[in-house]
Amino acid sequence: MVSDHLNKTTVWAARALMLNILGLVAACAAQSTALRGAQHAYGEARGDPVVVREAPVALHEAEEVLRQAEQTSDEDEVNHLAYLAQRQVEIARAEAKMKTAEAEAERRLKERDRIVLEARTREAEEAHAAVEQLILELADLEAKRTERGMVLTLGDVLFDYNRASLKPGAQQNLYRLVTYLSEHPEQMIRIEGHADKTGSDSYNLDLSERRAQAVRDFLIGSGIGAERITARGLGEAYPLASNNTEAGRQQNRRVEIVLPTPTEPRVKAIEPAIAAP
Amino acid sequence: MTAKIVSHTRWIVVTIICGGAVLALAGCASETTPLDAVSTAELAVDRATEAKAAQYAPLELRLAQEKLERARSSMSENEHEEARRQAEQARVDALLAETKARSESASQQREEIDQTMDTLKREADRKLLAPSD
Repeated sequence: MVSDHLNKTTVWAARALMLNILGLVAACAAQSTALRGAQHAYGEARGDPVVVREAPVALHEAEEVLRQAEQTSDEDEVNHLAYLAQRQVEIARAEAKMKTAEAEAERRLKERDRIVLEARTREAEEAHAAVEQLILELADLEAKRTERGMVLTLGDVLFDYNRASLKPGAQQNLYRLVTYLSEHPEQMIRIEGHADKTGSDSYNLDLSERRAQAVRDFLIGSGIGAERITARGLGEAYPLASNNTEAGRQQNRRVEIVLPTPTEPRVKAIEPAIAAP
Repeated sequence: MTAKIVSHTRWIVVTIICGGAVLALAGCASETTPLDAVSTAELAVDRATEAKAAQYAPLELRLAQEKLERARSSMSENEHEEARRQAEQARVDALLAETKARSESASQQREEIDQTMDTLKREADRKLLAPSD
């Protein structure tokens, strides 16, 4: 009798348990395709190391919504939550992709800066070396590096007396300069004629100007573009030495060829205008 | 002895039934009010639009806008449950649109950098090959 009662209660317990299990199974069955799809998508994203690393928060949110969906019985709500979870997984994936692209862009920006810097350094070194070489080769022209750029001085002896024409020796000296100028098409040239204090101001100004012009004509005749060359006479205004001695006056009668230091290397011109992300 | 066993089993039954009921209730509970959901979705759609989603993720953005519209009309017809769901879905659609758009512009930026890098490298090579004296 007692054991009968016990059996009866056990059966009830078993039935209740079964009911609950059935309920759960039903919920699982109602685990619509949408929920299974979301679970699958989540599982795949979870297994993707890039997503796990780059979008942990979005992935966690997907997991939360998924858990919520799994514990819900109302079919419409399950489908709704499954949709949210599915979208959340897609958001995590898109975010991971975005972070990866951003990191890659950042890395390439640094690489680009490095290349630009290297190119600039190399250009500067090359320009420096070329000028040093030119100074050595143009020793006869008294090449000097100054703040105005490089200055070559054609002394009075290179011109015919009181005339503007260049002596053949001067032309010889200028050929090396012509070579340098044709190899450096960006190099501008300023030619300045100077005179001593002997004679009238206007005559000196005129002579200095004609001598500067003669050098300009010679360079143009050697194939250097006229637009790169400016020439002017400065008369007696800028003496190098005293006008009281013949030696000083001879120093003052001269033509200076100024090669201004090139400004920024041209690499800058092709630098793109991209804002940092 | 037997009575004890009987009452014990009854407790198990009660516990199981109550547990099931609690689980079922928990499943039905919703967190947000429809009004909150709608304004959150509006914000998300605005953010997506700002991120140029119309250009980069038009499908997702349109979905979000349509669902937001449906959420609003469900609200006005007092279908709060439907309104909440539509708004919540509009929010994730908009967020996806925004993230996709941002990802797309990041990729584009990367491509632009690649192109200028190529130009730079060609320029550098050309200089290197050119006679330097």
